[in-house]
Amino acid sequence: MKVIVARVDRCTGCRTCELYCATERGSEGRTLLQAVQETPVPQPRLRVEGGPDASLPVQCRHCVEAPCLDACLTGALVRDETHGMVHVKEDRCIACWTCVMFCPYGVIFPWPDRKFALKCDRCMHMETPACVDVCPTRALEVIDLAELDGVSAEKRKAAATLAIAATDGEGVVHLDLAG
Amino acid sequence: MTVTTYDLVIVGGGAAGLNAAAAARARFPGKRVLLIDGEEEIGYYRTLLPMFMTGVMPEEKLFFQRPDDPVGYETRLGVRALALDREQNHLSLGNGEVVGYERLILAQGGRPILPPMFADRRLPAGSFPVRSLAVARRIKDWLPEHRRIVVLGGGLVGSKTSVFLAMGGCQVTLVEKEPHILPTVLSERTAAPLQRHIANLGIDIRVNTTIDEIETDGNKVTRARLSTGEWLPCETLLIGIGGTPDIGFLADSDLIDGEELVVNPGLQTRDPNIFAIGDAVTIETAEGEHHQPWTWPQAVSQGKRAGDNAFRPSAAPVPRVTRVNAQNISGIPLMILGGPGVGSEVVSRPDPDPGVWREFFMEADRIVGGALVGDIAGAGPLHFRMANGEAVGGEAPQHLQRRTRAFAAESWGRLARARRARRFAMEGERA
Amino acid sequence: MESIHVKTVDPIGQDLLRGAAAKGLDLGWERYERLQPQDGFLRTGLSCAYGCLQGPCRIDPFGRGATQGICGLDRDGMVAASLLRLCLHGALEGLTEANNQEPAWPAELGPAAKKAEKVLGGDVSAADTFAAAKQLSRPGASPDDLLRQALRLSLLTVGLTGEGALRAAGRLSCRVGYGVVSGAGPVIGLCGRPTSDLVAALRDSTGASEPQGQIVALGEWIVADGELLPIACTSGEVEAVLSAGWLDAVALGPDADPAIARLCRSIGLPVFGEAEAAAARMTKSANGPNASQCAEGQVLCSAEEARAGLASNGSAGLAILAGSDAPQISLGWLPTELAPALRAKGLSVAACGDAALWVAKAGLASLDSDRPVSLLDPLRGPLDALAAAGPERVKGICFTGVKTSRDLAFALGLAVLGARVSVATPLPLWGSAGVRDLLNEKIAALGGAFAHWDHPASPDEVLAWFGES
Repeated sequence: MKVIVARVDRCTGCRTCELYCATERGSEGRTLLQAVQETPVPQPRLRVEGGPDASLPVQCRHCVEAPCLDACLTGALVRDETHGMVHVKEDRCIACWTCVMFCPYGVIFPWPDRKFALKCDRCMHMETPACVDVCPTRALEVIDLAELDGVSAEKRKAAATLAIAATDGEGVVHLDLAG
Repeated sequence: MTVTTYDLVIVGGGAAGLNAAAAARARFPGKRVLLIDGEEEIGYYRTLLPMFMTGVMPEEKLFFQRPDDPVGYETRLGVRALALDREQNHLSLGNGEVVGYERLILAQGGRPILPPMFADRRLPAGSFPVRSLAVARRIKDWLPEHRRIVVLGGGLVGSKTSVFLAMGGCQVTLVEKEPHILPTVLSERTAAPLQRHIANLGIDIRVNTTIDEIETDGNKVTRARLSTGEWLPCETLLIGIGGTPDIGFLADSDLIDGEELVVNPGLQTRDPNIFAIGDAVTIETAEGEHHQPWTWPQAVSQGKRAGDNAFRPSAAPVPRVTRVNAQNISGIPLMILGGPGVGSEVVSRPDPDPGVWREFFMEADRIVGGALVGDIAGAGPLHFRMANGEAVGGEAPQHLQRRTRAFAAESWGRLARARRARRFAMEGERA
Repeated sequence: MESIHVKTVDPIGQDLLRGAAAKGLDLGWERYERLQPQDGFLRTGLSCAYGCLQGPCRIDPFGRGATQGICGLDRDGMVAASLLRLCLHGALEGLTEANNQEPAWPAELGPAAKKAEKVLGGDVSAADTFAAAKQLSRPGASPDDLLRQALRLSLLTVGLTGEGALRAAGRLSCRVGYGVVSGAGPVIGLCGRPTSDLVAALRDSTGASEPQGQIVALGEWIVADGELLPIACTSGEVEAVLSAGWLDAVALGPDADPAIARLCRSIGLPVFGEAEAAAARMTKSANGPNASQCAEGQVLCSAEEARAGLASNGSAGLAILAGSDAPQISLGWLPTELAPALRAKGLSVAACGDAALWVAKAGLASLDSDRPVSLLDPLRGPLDALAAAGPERVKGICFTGVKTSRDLAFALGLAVLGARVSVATPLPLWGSAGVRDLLNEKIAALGGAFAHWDHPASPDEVLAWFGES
């Protein structure tokens, strides 16, 4: 399974990923300058979190035992068979926001204007996710979880990688930071 | 009498039962499984029934599983369980059949509670309990000609149904016997913005009262009398005063404690070969607390876990037991973290927007319940901190503020420290 | 992502780019691609332009995050301030180069300038830059005030163009195209606005070499001894031409982009300053392009010449193409498509700057051609044409790309003087509909129009805009 990994040591909090995620995946015009004029205003599927000392883009972890999948009342949230990504079938979503409440990471976002829940699907049908494509510092990368297992723990530590790994419980953010 | 014996029998084809069946099939492909349900139709989203019967939701979006979908197990539909014989591991069914089981999963759910006035009479035409698809279909057919409606019960189902009916142009009166709507899950203060919002949709809300008499004309509802004595003319009466575990057929099984079908966190009854899940059960935690988390997400999670546990030597506990609920009441988002416990402290914070109210119930420094109305930012992480029993201490007021950020501040302290450590490490290498 | 697909319309230019790629040279387009996407907050004007260190503050264009800066500045104020800051830069650039810091407009436009000054709050002068700097020190002024000041500065910028870039009178003939590089002797390229001393020194040294060498301008308009130096390429093509290996040396003026010197170093092309230029004894080493890749035209250098050259000749009006090459649009696409299309609509066409070079390269300015495009002073050109033909006859002035903030201020200033002006590349105004509306209103009140697009405009769109007048 390929997932997006964010590197905390590289994120400068510029939020370019947010702007272009909203543009690429949420707008009709597909360019930023057109997107900012649209109504309803496009929304990103990831958010840069953090404060002055550290920042990090957070998006769906595509948990192995995803609580949101159990919670969805309408079958709008499904896991894609091919890519393993959890995504929202927008036509089935009734905007009850139950999934929002069941996401431990807070990365499913209500979009009341469009009446569906918004979440990262890793742009699975695109060659590269929009956010990864645009990150000016390469703080976002796509990695294959299978390959991550091969990377030694030390290397991971050295890279201070905020990796997202499947653990045997729920899929969990693997915070393998220095120290 | 011939008895067909199955490895696993599942009673009930709601969210819990069907998920249990699917999980068991996936995990134990060699086992022979039977699923029975009293309804003719199963595999639908029960929570969508209010939308379906008011015409908001088309029928094709109602089902997650169709009768002709290959499921890999046998089903008996329209058949109720009548009695359980634990000595013989036999279950008697309403069609005269007796089936044997090695493992049994009870997922029969609840049945609607009816007001006392219907204790000794048949429901007159135009009065319906909101629970099953079959009844929802009848309501759907009935409503277009009978648009003056009284909804009895201001809980989640009643409130939600009223909203859809009002938006569909019906004349709706919502009757709740407590002082405010959603009494079991919200405090009066929290319910206030919601109640205002619903009233603004044109719904006539009557609280502190109930309906104690129905007048009919040729067995058709014509008006309903409030306990205040006032008569409300109406053509339709929808009953949404909740459900109660459907455990009558277990009366002689010795699985019932008082009125409750109690299971451990591994979802086993006192008979380890019999599991029980969904709206019929009470879960007793290791600490001895009793929970009745009768929600759809719980039904799905418990179903999956019970199916997984069915033939395991030891039953794994269900991931978390919370009775949280989310609703979107015509544009007002609502997150219910749980009702107030006895002696819990209420922490709340006024918001400049009268449509927004965030409130927690705290015990010591843990969040045990609360609600977010109008602004649900950060609800997911909050829910899990509550479910994990994390101490939030003095942070609670911070969580009450409107936020665009989902994560708590202290996790960022951790990230920042890690980042600084990394910077020093790099400088060290250079030196 | 938003990117260009065809980098230049010139087929030989495309060959040069392929050649550079084969040599592993990174040119401007590669840097442009690598910079994508460019800062969305700056692109929308929502990165705060105030000289304040509380920030940096940025407003979320999608309205979900911050809606105000730390001081409480909203998106209208932020976008208006960034426009003011750009205009201030433009006006300062004009001031530093002007011989006379008193703004002056052509006599024909005097009434329009007076009216604009009156509407915008009094006489415009160099002191307006101080007023703008004060406004940009703390965010107290309203968007309305900021825009008014921006327009005053743009009017000032126009008034400071003095004698223009060529500082010449009469008509100068010009030769444009890669072919000017060919020749028996060594060829030295000039770019980055070289000083006249440097040019003189180079002319001496190339004149002394055997066979005689020559100097050519790279994307520059340079007059030496009353002649316009032959121009090898437009400003956007300089790197491509350098990478072709046609030149024997390059002399850089103070304004040369850092990339030029870096590229010369990496391909081993000698770079001359003044001292080296005087001492250089050049030898021919490089092979040049085909001499036939060259076209001629005539530049109407002064306002008088513009009046004579642009006199009504029975055409339906005058269309002016100005502006520099921009990486967002295929180089040359707009000028080479627009000039013939506008002519076909019965309009006379005049061009200046890179747009003029493209038109000339395409042979559209050749005196042999039917109704040739008139070439104008790269700086003053549109102003002279506006004065000569009058706002009535000028159907529109399109800046096919803007590079410096002076270009932008100048374009706005023309609109303030009552002209219809458009800019084909996006401006950082899209973060606030309020500011865009206000700007349109203010310019319309002065009888002008200022159009711009939220994407790099295509020739069809610009043509349609010309047609709207």
